[in-house]
Amino acid sequence: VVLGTACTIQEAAAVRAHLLAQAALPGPYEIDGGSVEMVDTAGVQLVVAFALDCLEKGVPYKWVGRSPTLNAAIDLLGVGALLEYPA
Amino acid sequence: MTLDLTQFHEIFFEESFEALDQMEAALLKLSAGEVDAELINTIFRVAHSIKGGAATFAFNEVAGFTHVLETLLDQLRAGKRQVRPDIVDVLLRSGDAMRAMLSATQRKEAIDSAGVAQLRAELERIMSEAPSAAGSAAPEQRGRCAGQVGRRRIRAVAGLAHQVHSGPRASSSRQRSAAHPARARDARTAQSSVDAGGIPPVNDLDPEVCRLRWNLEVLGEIDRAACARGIRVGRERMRAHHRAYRRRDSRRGSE
Repeated sequence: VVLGTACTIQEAAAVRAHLLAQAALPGPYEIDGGSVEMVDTAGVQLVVAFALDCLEKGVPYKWVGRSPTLNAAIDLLGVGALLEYPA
Repeated sequence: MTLDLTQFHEIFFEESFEALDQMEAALLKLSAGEVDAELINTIFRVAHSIKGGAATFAFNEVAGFTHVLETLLDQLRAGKRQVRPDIVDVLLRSGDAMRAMLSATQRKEAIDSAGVAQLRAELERIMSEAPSAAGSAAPEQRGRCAGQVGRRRIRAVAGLAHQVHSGPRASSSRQRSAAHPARARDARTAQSSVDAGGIPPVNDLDPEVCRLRWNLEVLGEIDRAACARGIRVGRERMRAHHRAYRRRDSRRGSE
């Protein structure tokens, strides 16, 4: 799962489509948010939804990259704990 | 010759959103047990004006709901009913509902009719109660009113970035929360947490509707005016963010 440079409400439909396409593939998944330069609540919310889907289905995922911008948004919105697949 | 009223829709929406801001500001100043004629008149005028405009443009759901709200406001204005914390809360939620209905109408989307009907029933339930004369509220009632309004508004402001959804929550099976004390200015007196319980699966998620919720608990005596100021600052910051977004989007669109 690769998040592009922009992950805002403007790209939300495309990000959602990408997440749905990836979710159709067998897991576990790797989420790469290392390139994210712009992100807002809409983008973070989609990633949270994807993470919750994985949790419900019991499909593990791990983060292979998170840009400082993405980390800042996750911290600002307080959703960090929701984005870590339980060990 | 037939006059095409659709050309006035945008003006109506714009003015209605501004009027709802005024209504909300007035509601936040209302105190339980007090009858501030000027404030209640301000709120009433907003409802009356939106009802009239909505009826003119045949936005019937907006007009119908606002008519019920207006009736309750008329009772408060006439002193037939006392301002109570629960009434202020319902009025605030009614303002949110009107905003959501107008936004949906503006975007030519479906209105959350179930949510509106539920709120309408609450308004009608209040109106079905025996009228009570205006009087002084007990101190704890006043404090509770300020607290309820404060928590509610802060929660709404925290949902900034894009549309704040006020519809029914999703199933509890998806409820997750994460304590987030780092966001609190003083961890001894305040703590915020995020609630993702309203987020549906990606497949069902409208990515432009914010389903995340934040709860901010502040312990201690909080001055109503300070709370209202904080809310105003939050709202201004939210609007500044939106303006910046629009500017950025328009720049990106023209590239």
